[in-house]
Formats: sequence, C-alpha cells, structure tokens
Amino acid sequence: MNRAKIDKILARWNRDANYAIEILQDVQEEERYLPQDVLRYVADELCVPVGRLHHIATFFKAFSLVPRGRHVVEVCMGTACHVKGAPRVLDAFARELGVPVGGTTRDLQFTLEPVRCLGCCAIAPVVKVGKELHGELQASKVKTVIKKYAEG
Amino acid sequence: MTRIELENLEEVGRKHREKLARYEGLLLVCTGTGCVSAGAFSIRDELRALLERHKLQKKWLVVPTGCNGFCAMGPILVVQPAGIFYQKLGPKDLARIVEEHLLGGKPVRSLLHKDAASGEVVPRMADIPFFAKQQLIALRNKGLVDPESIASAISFGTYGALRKALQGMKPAEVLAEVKRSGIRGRGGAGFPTGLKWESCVEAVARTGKPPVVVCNADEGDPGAFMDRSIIETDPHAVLEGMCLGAYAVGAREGFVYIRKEYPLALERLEKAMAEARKHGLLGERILGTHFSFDIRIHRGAGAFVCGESTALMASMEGRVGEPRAKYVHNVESGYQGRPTVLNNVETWANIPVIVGKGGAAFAAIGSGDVSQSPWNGSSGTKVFSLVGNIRNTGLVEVPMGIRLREIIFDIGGGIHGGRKFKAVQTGGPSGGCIPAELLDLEVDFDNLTKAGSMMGSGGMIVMDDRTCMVDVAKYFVDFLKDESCGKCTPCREGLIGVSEMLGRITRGEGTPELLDELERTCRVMASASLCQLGATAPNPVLSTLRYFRDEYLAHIEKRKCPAGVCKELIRYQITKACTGCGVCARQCPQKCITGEKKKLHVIDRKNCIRCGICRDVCKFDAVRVS
Amino acid sequence: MSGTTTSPDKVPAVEVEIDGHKVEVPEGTTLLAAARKAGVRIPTLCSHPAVEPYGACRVCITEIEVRGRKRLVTACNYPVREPLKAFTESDETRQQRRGVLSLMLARWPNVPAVRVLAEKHGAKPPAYRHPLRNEATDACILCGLCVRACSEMAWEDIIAFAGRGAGRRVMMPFGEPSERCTGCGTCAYICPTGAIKVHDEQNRPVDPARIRKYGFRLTQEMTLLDDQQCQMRRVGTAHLVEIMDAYDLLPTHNYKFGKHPDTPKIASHVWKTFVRQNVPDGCWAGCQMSCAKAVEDFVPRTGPYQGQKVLVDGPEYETVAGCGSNIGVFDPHDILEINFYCDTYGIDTISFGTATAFAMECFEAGILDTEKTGGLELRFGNGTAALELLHQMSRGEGFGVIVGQGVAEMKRIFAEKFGGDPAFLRDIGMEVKGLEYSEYVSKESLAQQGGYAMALKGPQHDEAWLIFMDMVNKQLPTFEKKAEALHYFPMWRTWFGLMGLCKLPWNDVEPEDNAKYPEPNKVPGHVEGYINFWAGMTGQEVTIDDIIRMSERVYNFQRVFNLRMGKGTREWDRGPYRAMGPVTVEEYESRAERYDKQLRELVGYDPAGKSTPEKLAALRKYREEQYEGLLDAVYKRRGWTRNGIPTIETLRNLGIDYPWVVEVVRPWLEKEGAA
Repeated sequence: MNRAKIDKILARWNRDANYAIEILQDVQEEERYLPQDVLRYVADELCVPVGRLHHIATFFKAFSLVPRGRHVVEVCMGTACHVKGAPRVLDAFARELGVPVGGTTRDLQFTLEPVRCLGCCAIAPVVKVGKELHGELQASKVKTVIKKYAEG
Repeated sequence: MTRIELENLEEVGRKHREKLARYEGLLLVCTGTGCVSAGAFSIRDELRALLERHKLQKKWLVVPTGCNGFCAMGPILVVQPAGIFYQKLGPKDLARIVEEHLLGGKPVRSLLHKDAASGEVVPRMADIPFFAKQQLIALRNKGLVDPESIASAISFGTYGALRKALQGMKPAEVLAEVKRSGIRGRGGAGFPTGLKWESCVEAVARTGKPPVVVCNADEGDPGAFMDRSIIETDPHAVLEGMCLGAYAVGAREGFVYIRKEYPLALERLEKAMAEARKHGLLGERILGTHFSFDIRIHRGAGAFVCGESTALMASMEGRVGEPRAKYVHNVESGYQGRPTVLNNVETWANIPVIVGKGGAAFAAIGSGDVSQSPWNGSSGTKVFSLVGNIRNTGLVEVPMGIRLREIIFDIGGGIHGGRKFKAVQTGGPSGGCIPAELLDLEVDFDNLTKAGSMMGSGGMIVMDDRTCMVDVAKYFVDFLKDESCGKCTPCREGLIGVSEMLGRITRGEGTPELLDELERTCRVMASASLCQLGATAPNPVLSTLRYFRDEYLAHIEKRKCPAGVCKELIRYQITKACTGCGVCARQCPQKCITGEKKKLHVIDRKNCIRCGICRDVCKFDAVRVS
Repeated sequence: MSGTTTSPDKVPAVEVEIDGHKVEVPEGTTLLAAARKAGVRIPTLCSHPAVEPYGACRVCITEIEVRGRKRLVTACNYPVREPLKAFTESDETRQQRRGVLSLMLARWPNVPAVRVLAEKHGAKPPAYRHPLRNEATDACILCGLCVRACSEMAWEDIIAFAGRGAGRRVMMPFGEPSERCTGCGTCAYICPTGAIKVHDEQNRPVDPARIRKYGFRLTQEMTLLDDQQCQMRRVGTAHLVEIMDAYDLLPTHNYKFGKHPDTPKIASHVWKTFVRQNVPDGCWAGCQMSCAKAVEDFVPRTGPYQGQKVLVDGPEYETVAGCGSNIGVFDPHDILEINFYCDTYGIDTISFGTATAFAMECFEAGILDTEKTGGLELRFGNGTAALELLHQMSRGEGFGVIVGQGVAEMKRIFAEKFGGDPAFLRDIGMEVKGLEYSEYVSKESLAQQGGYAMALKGPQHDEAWLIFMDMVNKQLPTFEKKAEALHYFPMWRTWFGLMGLCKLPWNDVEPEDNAKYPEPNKVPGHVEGYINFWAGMTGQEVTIDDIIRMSERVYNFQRVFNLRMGKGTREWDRGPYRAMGPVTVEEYESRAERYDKQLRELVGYDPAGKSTPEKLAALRKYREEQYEGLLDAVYKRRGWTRNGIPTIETLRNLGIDYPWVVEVVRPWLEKEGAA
C-alpha cells in the first residue's frame, strides 16, 4: 500500500487516534488485510503504540493480518439462522470451497467467515457475499452461490 | 429549503403533505434490508419505469420506505390511501398491479396477503392480524416515511418535540418528562433512562466536565434487528431523540456507535445527519436557537462485547473493546472520562414521543404502575424481532405486559409446518429459553428476568420441537466463547470449560458429575465475571437446565438427542415415503445415497456426515432422523 | 537535588471494617489497599502496587456490605467511597475464590503461583479436561502485569495483548522482537510465573536475579514516587528552576543574585508544555527515569537553521539557568535556541552560559563596549546578542573568538587589552582550573564552595552537591562535618564514573522511607542497591567502605595527575570571590539584612553606621578565612598536606605508591618539608 493512499485515509479521519479502528477498517477495505508495515506506519502517525493496533487487528472480526479473498463469504451464525440450519450451510461452504472455516482459497477468490447476526433474521439462514445478501439459503443451494461469484 | 427555524418547521411539513396530496395515491415500497435482499430495489425501479411508461408518474408516487416489519412477506408494496398490502412480489407482478389496480381500480387478488389460519385473503394491511395487535411508538413511521427525506420525516411530525422543547421547556423539564414516562433502557438491562440522565446532570455539576450522549447501534444480540430497522426506517427519529437528550443533559457532542455489518443503516444515517445539518437541525444554533449539538459516527469492527458500555467507549477511543469495572459509572466517567449518557437506538427513538406527548401518556401504556418509581413496572411499548421457527417472522411493536402467547400465536401466526412450539429464546446470549408452560407470561423486564431470561434488546427466537435445547445452550456458549474479550478468568476460562462440557454431553459422553460441574462453573461465571457479558453468559445454560433438564438427562443417560439435532447421537434414515425421485442422491456431498429410480433410496451410514442436505431437499418428508 | 515530597490534596477519610478490623482510609483507596492497611491479606494474581489495578484474574473477589446490601466485588479495583464492611473469608467469598482458582487450575495445573493459592484456598481441578491445558510450570496466566508494567513503568507499550477470548495471548506485535525494547526486564521481573525470560549474553552477570530485584525496586520507585518527588520523567532536571529560585540559588546576572522576578517564565510548568519525548533514553537498559527531554518541531529565529523545524535535545536545568537566568534571558524560545545551537556547534551550554554572563557583566561594568565587541550589545537579557555571539564562535569570527576561549582567557585579555581591573575580573570570573562554574549560587554554603573549587576537573557540582545539607538543613555545622562530606560524596560520586553508571537513580528519586535513615542524604537504600548490583555482577560481596576505597585510589591518582599538569596545589583549589560572597556594593545591598546579621552574629562586627564597602571588606575577610579553614580540614581528612598534596603514607595506604607516582609528589612534599 503506498504512502499516499494511507495518508489519504489518515487525513479522512483527521489523524485522530480515537478513530484508529475506523482507519484500520478503511485500510482493510482497500487492501483486504492489514499489512504489517502499514500498521507500523499508522501507529507512528497516530502516536499510538503499535501493540495497541496489533491488538485491535487481532481482536475485531473485521480485520485480518493475512490477505483475504476477493469475495468474503459471511455465513450468519445468528440464533435464527442457527435454528434454521446455518451450521449446515457453513459446513457446506467449507466443503465446497475446500477451506476450513476462517480460511481463504488458494486462488484468493474466497474467504469463508462465520459472522454474528447480520440482523436479517426474518429471511434466515442468511449469507452475505461481499455486499450482497442471500436469504433463505439452504445448504443445498451453496454450490449455486459459489458458482455465481467464481464466474463473475 | 435551507435552514429551518422554530417558526417554519410546521410549514415545511405542511408543504410536503400538500405535495403528496396532489397525487392520487402513494406506492410504498419497503426497502428494509430483508426486502432489499429479496429484490426490493428492482421492484422500486421497475415500478417507476412502469409508471412512466403509462404516464402515471404525476398521479402515483413511488415512496421507498424503511422496514415495514413483516419481513417474511417481502418484497412488500403498500398502495395508499387504501392501504392495500401486496406481498412476496417479483418484478413481473408489477405490470398487473399497475394495469389492474392503478388503472383498473381492482386490487390483484392473487398477490394479496392470505391469512394462514383461515386461508382468507386480507387486502388491507390494517386488517392483517400481524399488524392489528401492534401499538407503534418507536416504529411510528415504519413503512410510511421516506428514510432519505427530511421533509418526509417532518411531515410525519419528526422534530416537532424538539421544537416544543426548544421553544418552551427548560432542560430540567425535558428530563422531568422522561422521568415521568418511566421508560427503561431498551438495550438490555432495563435501567430507567430518566435516572441515568439525572445522574449525568449531577455528575456534570460535580465535575464540570462536558457531557456526551451516545447512541448504541452496535446491536449485537443474534436474532435482534430492531435497531437496524429503526435507523433504516426512521433515522431522523433517532437524531431527534438524541438532540432532546443532549438538550436535557447539556451536551454539545454526541456519537452513534454502529456496527459495520449494517451498511444500509449506516448509509441512511449518514444521509440523514447530512440533511439535518444542512437544514439546521444538527450543528450550531439548532432551529435558530442557542442550542448547539452535533453527532459523529463510530463504526464498530465486529465484536459483540462492544455492546457492553465500557467496551463500547474504549473502542470509541480507538482502543480494543475491553470492558472495565463499572464501580464508577459511565454517567460519571465514561467516554474520555466525561459524564456519558448511553442509550440504544430504540430508547432514543421513543424520546421524541415522550417529550412530544408527555411522559404520563407513555407511562399509561405497559405493565405496572411507574408513577412512583420506574422500577415498579415496564412502561410503554417494546419492539420485538420475531424470528426462528415461526410463521410471521418480522418486527413487531407491542405494549409491555402483553402475553407471550399473543405475540407468538396471534401476531406471529404460530409455528411453521404444523410443528409444536417448544420454547422461545429471549434476551440474546445473555437471555434464556422460556418453555411452553410459560406462554401466558406477561412480557416485561421483570417477568422475563424472573423466568430466568431477560428482555435484552428484544430478540424472540421461536423454537419448535426440532430444536435441541442442549445444542441451543452450546450454540450460545460457543458464540460467547468466541466473543469474550478474554480479559477476566471466569468468562474466558469458564466459557471454554462450559463449552467443553456441553460438547461432551452433545457427543453422548456426559456424566451426572459433569452436570454438577457445569452448574458450579456457571455460578462462578455469574458471580465473578468482570462485565455483564461474562456474568450473564451462563443464562442460556441455566435456563435450559431449569426448564429442559430431562433433555440433558436424555443425552447423558440414554445417549440420545430427542430433537434429533446432535450429530454424534443421530442417524439419517429414508422412510417408505420415498418416491425414488433421486434429488437427495444428487445433492448428497458424500455420494452415499443410492437407489434406483422410483424406488426406495438408502443412506450408507458409514459415509454419512449428517449434513442434513437430504432432509432439506426432500419434498416428501421421507428423510427422518433417529 | 534531593527528593522534595509535596503533600497530596486532602481527601476525606472513610471508615471501613475488614473482617472486623476497623481502619480509616482516604476516599478512593482500593479495597485491597484498605485491607492491607487493616492487616488483612487478600490473595491476588494480577495486581501489583506499581501498576494500575486491572481486575482480570478475579482471585481477589470479596464479599462486601454497603448500606446494608451485600455484593461481590474485586478488591484490587474497588474504590472505597463510603463506609463498608468486607468479609474476606465469608462462605460466598471463599466459594467464588475457589471457583476462580479452579478454573485457572484447569488450564495451568502446574504453575506454582496458581497451585499455591489453589491449595491454600481449597480449590480443586475441575471434572473436565481443559482443551488448552498447559502443563508448563512457567505458563503465562494472562494476568497482564507485564503489559501494564511495560506501559506504566517502562513507558514503552511494547509488549501487548493480542487476540480475544480463548485466543488471547501476550506478545510483541507480530511476534517479532521490538527495536524499542531495551531489555529492561521490568516485564520479566513482575511476571508471577516466569513466563518471560531475560537472556543477558553480553554481560553474563553472576547473579542476574539479584540485579533485577534491585533494578525492579528502582523502576517501581520511579513509577510510584517520581511524580511527587523530582518529576524527572515529566520535566527532567528542569524541575529545579523554581526550587533554586525559591532558595536564592538560581544564578542570575553572572551569579550576582540567586533569584529573579521573571523566573516563572522559565519554570518547570513552562517546559512541560514544550517537552514531548517522555520516553526512556535507553542509555541504560532498565532505567525508566527518562531524564533526557526533547522539544519537537522547534523553529529557530536565527542562524543557519532559521525558519526550519528542528529537534532540541533538552533543556536541562543547567542550560535553563546558564543560558537563561544567568545571562538575564527569560524567554524560553531563546533558551531553547541557544540550547539547540550549542548542541549543533558542539559547545557546552554551561561554559557558554557562564562565559557569556561574564562578558555581559564586563560590558555593563564598562570594561567592554560595542566597539570592542564588534557591535554586540552584550547586556544582560539580550538574547539576540547572545545568539549572535554563539554563531560567531562557531564561525571563528569577531568577538566570539574571544569569548569562545573561556573565562580564564577572557580575564587575561580584558585586563591586558581593554584595561580591566585584574582584581575585579578575578573576583567575578567564574572559573577554577580553567573550567567555568556550573549553575548554582554557592555564596551561602561554605561546603559547596569547597565542593566546587576543590573538584579535580574544575567547578562542576557532580563531585559534591552539598548546598541543601549545609545551608538549608544545617547538617554540616563544623569544619569536620563539612570535611567528612567533602570526602564521602566526591568519593561516592567518583565511583559512578568508575563503574560507568549514572548518578541520577541514586538520589533523583529516593525510597519512600528515606527520611527515617540517620543519614538520608546518602540515600542508604540506594547505596544498598548499588552494592547488590556490584555483587550480582561480579559475585564479590562489598561494603560501602570498600566502594569508597575504590574511589579514593582513583581520586588520589587524579590529584597527582593534576599536580603533574601544574594545577594540583592549594592555590588551584580557591574559587573566585563571587562564588563565596558579595563582590559589589549592589550585591551586598540587595541582601543587606542577611549579611549584616552575619556580621553581627558570626563575625562579631557591628555593621551599624558602617559604609557598604567597609562591611563588604569585613565579610570578605571572614569568609576567606573560613574557606582556608575548610581547605585545611578537608586536606587533613583526605590525607593530604596543607598544600593539598597526597602524602606518601596516603599513597601507600591506598596501594598506589608506584615509583612514577611518588616521583611526582616528592618534590612538592620536600618543598613543604613533609616528605
């Protein structure tokens, strides 16, 4: 990630250390992960210990220290989804993508993440791919969803 | 329209109403997250295109609204003024609606709502049982107001309470109304909002530090989505509530802490704030008065514990969401050590109604008598998200004190597919499971707590007899094990231990001693944890042990999962109902279902991984669990 | 420079009852501290007095009763704000404590800190096997003491938590060694399980644990006491400015006076607003004093860096006084700018300040004028002229060439070329043995006059700083006492040089109980630390006498060296009279009451009706005699002759009577008839 890009993000948040988490979210969105050198640079610029940012990066689900796939498949594990079969949907994704839960495919196309409730309980079970929601997604429909993104 | 002042607020609303009155009617398209994921945006666009094609755009106006609430039926279109309710629409259905209904004057029967119990068609929204029993305060404008138009909001009376307060009420009078209403925080523990604000005012007087008001939109309870919906539907109601709170406690600065998982809500909130600022309803000299207040947004980054107030404030300061001891309360020393009022979205959305119509009117609704003390009851209404194995999933707002049965059966329409009601889980991971024998419970803060659960933010997850209560308990414990910040021993180690023990029970490795240890560990967690996440974490276990102990014992003594959920204890079997259609064999990821066409199929148990896909896809209910 | 303890604001007291023992504590005291005061020990695993309470381990959970209501709280972080009863052994307390310990035991069954508490409180391992069970005896129990120690004690924030829930762990960011980590070992010392280990492969101390114990004690004192004592971490030595002014010791206008109405403009609160880099300097692994300060983004108004942002390393007290009050400059920007350019040009700020002050006094006395200075208006307070002088020095131009040669040379030049009165120049030229004085007014402390003028390298206060002992606390009433101090302190301080150690941790922070020792000025608690450091490093047990003797050998050798260089006799141990008393009428009259009283009470001379020059002369006669008496007493104590020559016997006693040493002293001894 080049300096100009990071500086732009820092400027957006006024280099305010109160917004460290937002700054890292923007970096994560651009890079699909938090590169070590960027974290160190941001820590310097915000005058906060790099250990604090490292803790944030390993604490919040939004962050990853290794690159994530082009499509992040977020399987909602909320209660409504759970009672409607979300664990089986998650298993199906893991099986079809050939990655463990939390893993990324070798071609960096997909990352599989369980997420806590997406708040779409009425259409459970729910899966979010990128910014698109898929409601009432049974395990049997997982293949079709993957196909859609693998091609697109 | 530029800056709005005290004098011309009404006029802005009136002008907007007059503008709408020029139309023959309005087409309200629900664009809440649920409907959007079912294609609501294309419904909106297609409808507009059709109107243009038929040159009807001056007669009918498409209004995208926030969540209608009846999410199970999305995408939804309501045709005003008659209030005709269309459900489960596809883009292809719209031509008929335009031609037959708008032009022909006859609603399209096949697209209308059918009552599940009677099978009768119910054309008008107000007549649908799901809506009939509701009483709307927080959701007062749902399905009506355009969330992306401040004029629309004002036309429904939003900012009227703020005008009233700024015109003729002292901050202490606003606080007094809120106290009189008896409203208790809708975010979890139900602490009286008026008392909280009062403590803040006292702390400001004592410390001289500038106070802050915060809106907690980090709705974390799985199964609860009312906060998201309120922001998506009526963001100005929340902003108005926060303005009133800021006015009452003397804050100039406010924050909304919102989950990053809610992109649509974030977008609408940002738009609403920008518009409010532009028109002088946020920022310097609000409504032309001396009151100044502005709000900034913090985005959560995915941590359930950040719903805990001290953790939320830590992450607002750019730190990890680790709770601290609350021996000194946030109202005294919260965000950056300043007196801080934190309320959740639903609470803030109630405030304008309380100030506008008076606290007494609010107090008259609900359970108990809060005129002496807010602790004597639960006033007002509460929004519940009704989800799980229930027919009418969606968002409902009902008066406090309503019986559980009314919510689940009258409004919710009972259980799907003729199955049996088993339990309803309330209060999220901190709550508990309430069994069928308590269906006549009058739902309010204290009754839910007495029943071993809690209100939480208002999630109601209905469970049928295919739900294993040990599995549900393990689900919540595993959820929290992953979400615990890990700071204190009882929460961190306790959750690991309890998860391990529940795992052994669901695998059929449990013993009676283990059950004792389970209860003991739960009690240590409840008493010794640093924050409420850890202290309430055992609730799902303790409440299921209380009401469904025999189900635990079945796992332990008989090595059986009565609900047929726990993988290690079940087998899938194809019964005689099988028609030999072969769908299951094609879908089986293990390729372990065999059988000739039109003949009974068989599962090879050695290779079966109990994924359940065969049962999901079978149209004949031929796959059984034993 | 000894620690001055300020009393904290009065907070109301609250009465608490712990297991039946009543005790009063200030409001806000933690329950744990209150219990300790009541003599009740509450077990903990994550609390330590030197760091903020954290409330993570929950072992200190205690049942309390407030206003009739019972509840459970963690003692470590529960602030006592109203009367309460605590029950550290009630059934409820014991049950929860046992439960918490049992949870820890499940994961870390063999860590002694956990096991001992578990056994003591009857906790048993649970009936399941913990998935993350760690059998190591030195497993990390996630108490967070190291993280807080690194942040609050070392001021570094290097070591940190990572992850959450079951994945929580303590680590350096990214699991990589940090270049900021100085290896101070504070984290390792505070760790209750030994999970953090320090490897010292360079020094190979004999007993590292012993060194760490005393090192940690010092770190702890810095954390807990520095804010009330010297504030070395927050302002560094510049905290002294207002203290010196208050005692009339801050040199102003070439040491004429000891205080100035403008001192608040350059007092420590001002420097706090400039100083940014409050981090350990890293000169000594483990020293958390953070004495060095820096000002970031400073923009000089003159010289080659004019208008650019620069980093100023400082300012220290000596710089503020030398380049500030002593030359009459009370503008912090000018002081910082002189500080910056002195550093940039490689010029000592003390020598520059004292030399410039001398030139300024000569200018104001009419010995110099703008013709002689090449146009420089060298009046007190003219910061611009001082800066220009500094730039000239660096370029080897103009009047800067003359001032740059130092006070000793200036005295000669001003007398020879500019017709200055040699006696006056000698009186006000603040140098001994060719070195400029450092920045304390020594007029009212005979011992300090000796401390300066007898110092072997010239008048630097780092051999002996006795002003407070002598003048303020009156602990050195006799020649013998003064002589003893002028023996002990120079020897003790010489030892720091011998060891390559720094003096600041000895007495710029003092143990909390320092005052209760018979000789608090020696800071016996810290002397003990240094003795243990020596022993831990070398394996050799020593006493303070051994240490003094080590120094004496070197000190006497240095004296012999001075002698060989022609500056080792009595005449070189006398300072200018400005360091001993008022030189001018103006000086006398500014403190006439004090001097008149001394004339009456000490000298036996009635000042009534006498002119100031008469009184000046009487006082001077007395003080110079006193000083000669001091020299005699000190020489005697050091085993030197009346001319200040170490005797053969002294050299022999110290085991340095090498022929080539004896060869240097013998002619001098013979001259005195002492050989």
